Parts: sequence; structure tokens; C-alpha cells
Amino acid sequence: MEPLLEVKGLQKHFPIHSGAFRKVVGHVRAVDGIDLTVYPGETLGIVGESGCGKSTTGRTILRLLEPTGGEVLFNGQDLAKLKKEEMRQVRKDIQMVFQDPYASLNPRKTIKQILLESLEVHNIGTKQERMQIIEEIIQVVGLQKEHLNRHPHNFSGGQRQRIGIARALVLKPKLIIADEPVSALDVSIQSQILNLLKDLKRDFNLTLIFISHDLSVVKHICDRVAVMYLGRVVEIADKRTLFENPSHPYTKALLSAVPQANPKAKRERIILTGDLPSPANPPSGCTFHPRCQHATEECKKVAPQLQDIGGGQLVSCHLYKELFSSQH
Amino acid sequence: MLFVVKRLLLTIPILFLVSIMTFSLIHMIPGDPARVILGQEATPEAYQALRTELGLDQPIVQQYFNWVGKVLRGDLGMSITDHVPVSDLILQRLPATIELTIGTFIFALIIAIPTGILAAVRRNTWIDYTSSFLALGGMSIPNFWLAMMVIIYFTVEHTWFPSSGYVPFFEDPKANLMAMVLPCIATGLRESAVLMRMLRSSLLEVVNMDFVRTAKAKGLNEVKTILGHVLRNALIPVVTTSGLMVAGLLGGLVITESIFSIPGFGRLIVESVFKRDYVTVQGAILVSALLVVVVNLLVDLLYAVIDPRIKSGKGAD
Repeated sequence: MEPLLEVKGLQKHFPIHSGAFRKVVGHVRAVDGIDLTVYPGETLGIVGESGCGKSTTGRTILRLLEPTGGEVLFNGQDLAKLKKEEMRQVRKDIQMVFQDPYASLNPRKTIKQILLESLEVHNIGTKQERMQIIEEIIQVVGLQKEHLNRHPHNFSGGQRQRIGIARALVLKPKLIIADEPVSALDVSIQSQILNLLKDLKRDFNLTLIFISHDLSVVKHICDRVAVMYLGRVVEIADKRTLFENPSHPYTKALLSAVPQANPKAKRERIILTGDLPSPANPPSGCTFHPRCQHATEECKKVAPQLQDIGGGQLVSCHLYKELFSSQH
Repeated sequence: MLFVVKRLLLTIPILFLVSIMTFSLIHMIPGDPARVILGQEATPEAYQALRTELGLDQPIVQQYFNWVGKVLRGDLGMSITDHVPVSDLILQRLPATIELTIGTFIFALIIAIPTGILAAVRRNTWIDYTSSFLALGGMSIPNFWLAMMVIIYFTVEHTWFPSSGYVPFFEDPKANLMAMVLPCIATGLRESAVLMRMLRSSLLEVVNMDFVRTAKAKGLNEVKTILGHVLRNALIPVVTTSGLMVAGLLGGLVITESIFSIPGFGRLIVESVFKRDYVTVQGAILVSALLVVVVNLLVDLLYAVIDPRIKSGKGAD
């Protein structure tokens, strides 16, 4: 199957300025060479701790942040090379659901204005058709037509996120990037929104990139999962393989941290020592080596590449073979 | 609508306080208004007669209500020195000042809005630095000096505009507007600098907000994002400053009015103070305070138009 989105070696480095003349003294490597493939109709999860570059990846794909390097092939077209105006046209097909439903809606506009604007910008339909579209979409996300004339402050967090989803859907995009769409919500509301996304994905045949730090959320909604560490992807696999058979030491540590319902279940807790290193000055070789209990001399010197270990599972680790075999 | 009614009701206690303060002014004069009006050599009979005429022999609360009653009928008393009704004096002087205020404000906006937006959008580029430098200059240059420079350039070097003189608008609109151009430039430049800095910093706060990113993700271009999403959210502080500015200008254009020989309201106040015309000062201060109250009311109503959350009482968080 042809991929819908192919990200090759994507980089986003933020310059660090210092001194009176704002001289560039270094770079924060927020995203440092990421490869991802997203197939039509699937949900790809991107997980990792805070500050590993998940959100930056999402924004850089959409060019809400300009990439420093790499390619973003969407339907075979490199988004990173498009001119501003061309990119603006493509935005119709890739929409984003943002993390903070409070800040991401303009407080001065009514829901109607917010939803209509997307259609107006891209010249979709006549006035009546536009109204029809937004009246439909607002009901699809579980709100009522009467809500259209209200302002964002009249809604609760969950409702606002429904509006955010409606806003993304109204353009009938081919790809939606959801950047931590439920992490600002109460747990009881989270599941409602997740189920809404799941239903919409089925009904609208959407392709979804779902960015989250919450493994249980990812497990609930995704088909495949990419694990990020310090601006890089360390492992990608389909959900089942990843959760049952994690191959990167970091993935294993992450999974061992997921709380389990059964207190008697036997599990081995892997406690990572140390903090996430600074992306301004990442460790040499494999960036995970200072926190990895298996690290060897090779890990300190040579950066591993993502390699296919079969079954669509890709791992970036020198030791996966030994670690892999020790499991079986 | 409820908000408007509420806000209107709120002005009643303010106006009450203003009236008490203005009323007490005449009683704060050392000695006695009758004595001041008649001078030291007046006979006791004449003095008593004037006291009765002015109502000064009545209890003070009675005096206050008499005065308020007159004010409400538009009677602000007779000028001590000019012997004409104070309301006439004020009505003669106010139009010129209001025109000058509006002109100054419009000129300030014309300069401030585009430069403020450009400086914020192109932050840390030469456009930002140049406009910030000019704004600093605009704020530092004294008003009267700029007024004289403008006169020298536009009327002495080039005879484009008249240097002074005022013609009422309804007598000769063209001459009136021509005479107003230079005063408006001279005062407006300074005010524009204040507004421009205000707009810039307020825009910078909004420009990094999440919903601006949302607008970009929707596919809006830069111009539409700035005008449609950023500007309106950045307007509140600018409107506040504008309100203070307009209120200040209405009573404080003395220097401009003096330099350009405009018979304005600010000059009326200052002249009356020098002539010790207490009745005129009292009336002018009352009107001036009233104007400030009205401007503030307008600003508050404008807030509600700009930010729907204010109307519903949720506040601009």
C-alpha cells in the first residue's frame, strides 16, 4: 500500500541565542532525524516523555514550525519544499487537533465563526452549503446546532475539544494530527473524546497521527506506535507487537511503568536512572546509553540506525538481538 | 443590553461625587466668594445683598441642591469677569477643542496602527528597531517645540498651511480643516508614539497564543491571521490607553491651543484661573469631569463589543 505520509530524516533545531547581540551559541535538537511512514486509514501513535520532541514533530510536519532539514512527503509531494501559498492550500488536507482546548480557540469568535472561517479560507461551498456543513459537523461531534452562536468560554473543556475536533473535521482532511488531544481533560472526559475520535476515524475513513505521553491512551486508539526519545524514533511497531514484545530497552522501561489494574500481577519494574539529557547537548553514540542498563562501549560511540527486525517492527538499538533472544 | 444598563447606572454615583467636588470648589476659596467678587472696599450692605443673591446665607445642603437644580437646567452661573453665562463661554470654546481632540486622535491612530502592527509582526528586524526608535523620539520631544518646528516648516518654509487662527467649521469648513492640520500633527505625533508602543507589546503577547497557531493550521495567510485573530484580541489595552488619552486631551490641550491661537476649552480653564473667575472655573471643571465620565463610559461599552466575555461577566482572563 502506498503511504499517505512519509517523513524522512526530519529535523527541527532551535537556535540558542546569548549575549547582547543575540549570537547563536548552539542548537536545541528538538527533532533530530525522524523517519515515519503513515498508511491511509491507520492511526499512528507517537509516544515519549515530555520534551522528547513529539509535539515539535507534529508541528514541523505541518510546517507550523519550519523544519531545519529532511523531507515530508504527503501524497508524494514534499511539504518542506512548498512555497508559503502552496503550503496554505495543502493545509486543507492535513488538520491538527491541539492539546489545549482552552487556548486554541479564539475567545472573541463564536463557534460558528470559528468553523465557517476554515471553509471560507479555502473557498468551499456557497453560503448555504457552508452553514449546512457546519451544522452537520457540530452534531457529528456531539454538540447541538444551538451551540453555534456561543463563544468558547461558554463551554467546558471536553466540549471545547469537541469543537476543536469539529474544526479539524470541517475541511474533510485526509490526515489529522492530534497533539495530546486529551491530556488537558479530566479522565472521565478523556474516554469520551477518545471514543469520539475512534468513531470519527471509522465513519470518515480518517488517517490519524496521535501524539501522547499516555501509553494506555495510545494502546486504546492506535494501530501502530512510534516511541521517541530525545528527538529520535527508537522503535516503531504495530500496537500488539510493541506492547507484547518491546525490543528497545527504553520501550521496555516505559511499558514497565504503566500502572496495572491487578496488584498481584507479576511484573518487572525497570526504573530508569538519571534525567532526560538536554537536547542542546545530546550524549554521543546512542543517546539513550547513559540511562541504559545494557549499554556497551559500542553504544557510547556509534549511533544506531532504525532497522527492520521483522514483522514490521523497527528498532534503533545495537543490542536488540541479544536482548531479543534473552526474552525467548 | 443588561450590561449597558448596569454600566449606565454605575455612572450615577460617579456624577454625584463629581458634582459634590465641583460644588465644594467655590467654598474652598479663601474668604468668601461674595468678598472676592466685590473686592475689599465693598460696603457691608452690598456684601450682604450679594450673599443673599448668591444664596450663600442658606444652609450648605440647601445651597448644593439649588446649585444642582440650576446645573441640571443648564445654568452654570454668570462669569465674574466677563458677565456672560458660563454655559455660553463653554459652548463657544468646546467645539474647537473637541475637533482638535478628534483630529489628534485620528492622526495618532493612522500612524500608530500600521507601525504598531508592522513592528510586532516583524519583531527584531530593522522595521521594529526604526519604529521603536522613532517612538522613543516622539515621546521625548516636547509638544511645544514640535509645534514650533511644524509651524516653521509648513508655514514659513512652505506656505502650505496657516500658522494659526481658528475658523468655526460651519462658517468655512475648508479654512477650518486647514487650520486644524498642524495642531493635530503637533500633538498627534506624541500620542501616536504611546499608542504604537502599546499596540506592539499587546500584539506580541497575543501573537504567540495557541489560537493564532490554530488560525495558521486552518490555512489562513498572515494578513488574515493578524487582522482577523490577533488584532482584536490585542485591542483592549490600546482602547484603555486611547480612552485615557482622549479624556486627557479634552482638558489638556492648553499648550497646543495657545501656540496655534485656537480659542479652546483648555485655554478657557487656564485663563479663568488666572482671572480668578471662580464661577467659570467651576463650570468648566464640571463639564470637563463630565466629558471624562462620558469617554470612560464609551470605553467600557467598547470593551464589551471587543470582548464578549466582559458582557457575560466572565472577565478577560
